[in-house]
Amino acid sequence: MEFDDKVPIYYQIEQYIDRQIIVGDLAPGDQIPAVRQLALTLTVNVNTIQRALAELIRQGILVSQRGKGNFVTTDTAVLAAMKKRVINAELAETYEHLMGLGMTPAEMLAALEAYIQERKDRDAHD
Amino acid sequence: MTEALMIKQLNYRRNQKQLLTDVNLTLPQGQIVGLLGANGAGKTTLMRLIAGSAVNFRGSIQVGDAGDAVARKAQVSFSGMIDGFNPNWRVGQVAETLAELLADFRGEDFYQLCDLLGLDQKQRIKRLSKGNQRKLRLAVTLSRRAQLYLLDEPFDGIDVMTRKAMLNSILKWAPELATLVISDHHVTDIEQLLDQVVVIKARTIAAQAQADDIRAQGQSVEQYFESFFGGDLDD
Amino acid sequence: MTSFKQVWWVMAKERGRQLTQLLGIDLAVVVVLIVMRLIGRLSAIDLVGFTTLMALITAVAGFVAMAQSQEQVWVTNRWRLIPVANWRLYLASTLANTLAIVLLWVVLGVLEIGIATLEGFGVDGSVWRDLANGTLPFLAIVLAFTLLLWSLISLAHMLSLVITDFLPGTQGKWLRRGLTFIIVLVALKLVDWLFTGMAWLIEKLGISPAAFTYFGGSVMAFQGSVVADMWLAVGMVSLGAVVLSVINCYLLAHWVETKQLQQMA
Repeated sequence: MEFDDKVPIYYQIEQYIDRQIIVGDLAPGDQIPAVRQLALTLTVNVNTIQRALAELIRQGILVSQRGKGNFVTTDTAVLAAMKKRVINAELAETYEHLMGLGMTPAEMLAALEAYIQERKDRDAHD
Repeated sequence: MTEALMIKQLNYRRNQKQLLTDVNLTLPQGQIVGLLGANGAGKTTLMRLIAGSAVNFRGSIQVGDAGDAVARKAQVSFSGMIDGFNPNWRVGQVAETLAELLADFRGEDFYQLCDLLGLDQKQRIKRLSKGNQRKLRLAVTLSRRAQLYLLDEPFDGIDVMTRKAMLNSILKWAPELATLVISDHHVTDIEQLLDQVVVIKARTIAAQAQADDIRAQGQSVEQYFESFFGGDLDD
Repeated sequence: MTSFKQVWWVMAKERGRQLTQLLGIDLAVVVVLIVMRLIGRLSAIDLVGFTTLMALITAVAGFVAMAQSQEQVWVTNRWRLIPVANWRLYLASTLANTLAIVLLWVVLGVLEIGIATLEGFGVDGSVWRDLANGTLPFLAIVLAFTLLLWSLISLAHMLSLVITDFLPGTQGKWLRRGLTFIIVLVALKLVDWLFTGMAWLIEKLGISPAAFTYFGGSVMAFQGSVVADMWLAVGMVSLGAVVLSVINCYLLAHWVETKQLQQMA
């Protein structure tokens, strides 16, 4: 996997797992691959994986079961909060960027609605 | 828990030239460490001293509990080990001999690694391409069960696909508590894998830092490394 | 840790293989000689003479091959990174060389005696008694001398390396040239002593040069005092080899480094 070389890798791995959960590749209660396997799949070292998992466990997104491995939590509230956090992070970035272009919140909303409509039309044509 | 590597006040000279000055370095167990420095900065020299290829130094080098040279050699696997094999020998013969001479050499690991890297047991060393020679070097190094692995420029002249295979081998085979020191002057080759970086400059350790701490400051490890050279990689 | 036995055994096998190859060449030539003899192109004395010559050549080639293999051990990672004490490494190499070369001599000797006997240069019963008296110390001297030469070669090599590592390029070159010069002088002097010693021996026993080409019974009946002197010589030469070896072990442990390939930084 390609990583941004200016952002801590453990953080990027947390994001990666968060996204997998949001998108549904990892369902609540699913077991996540073993640390070694993840290290191989993502081509990062084991310590980095462990740090990422430790953080996710601390946040309650993952649950560790002794002797069995790490599982996605079944607590939907926690997952919903995480999804919201991730989405908000995307929105925050867009918000900051558009602010930087001098747009007001009302202009932003209008621009977004217009864009969504454009995309809908474009997709309908393809 | 003993440190994987403890170097204290290491000084080394050859040909009336000081090659390493007051080197102090401590590395914990279970980490992958990048040894970064310009060409000729002393990365290989440092590895040779740790491994025991170079002997006439002042200061102390300790690997785990092992302080003297012989005990250290049993704890260290250096990629230079393959130097000295008759080029007419075949890949398989190398494994056979090493299994006879080294208590910690795992023949089965070697064969698996060769498969993973695409090395043919029957090929003669002298007929191996440069890339395949590097793969053989890696396979030999990782087939030993050691506390400290020293990989000297393992990706030098390697194409992308081979590098991927080699990175995977490293990740798959390095024992959990072992420490790996990988030197490279192309930082990007190994950035992703590193827990720590150690920078060699002006014949000593210029810096030692956790890779993710560097990134948390918004810098890539490559940028961090280049900052020691003011944009110019001459020492 | 690697045990002495493991190191020695691997070395012995490799060197044995090398000498077997040399032996193969020798046997091939001898076979040709025998064929030539059988078809009448070669006289009996020429067959024995040429066989002896080939044996000597093979023995010298074996000496050189063993010396080369030994010198490789000091400067390659392959051997020096093995977790074994330097003196054990040295001893293992010396023992491997010794075993291999002695086996070579035995095979060459048997071949020699076999051909000489078949050609009627008779070996009667008294030879076996004489063997214990005379040939044994003689062989011991040759072996001790071989060991001395091997350790001298190692010493020269190691000193040369130490000088190269210690001094910058040009200064080192002249010192090494001087060292080579001295070592060659010493080696020539030693060889001179060996031949002087052998000439003295031959004179003492009243053996004519012609008698040396075959194994007659009385030829080997050495006097008691001569044998004692020979064993003394063995002792002195061996001591020399031991002293040089101790120096070599010291150099190996504290000064001699392995070769570095050019492409590495």
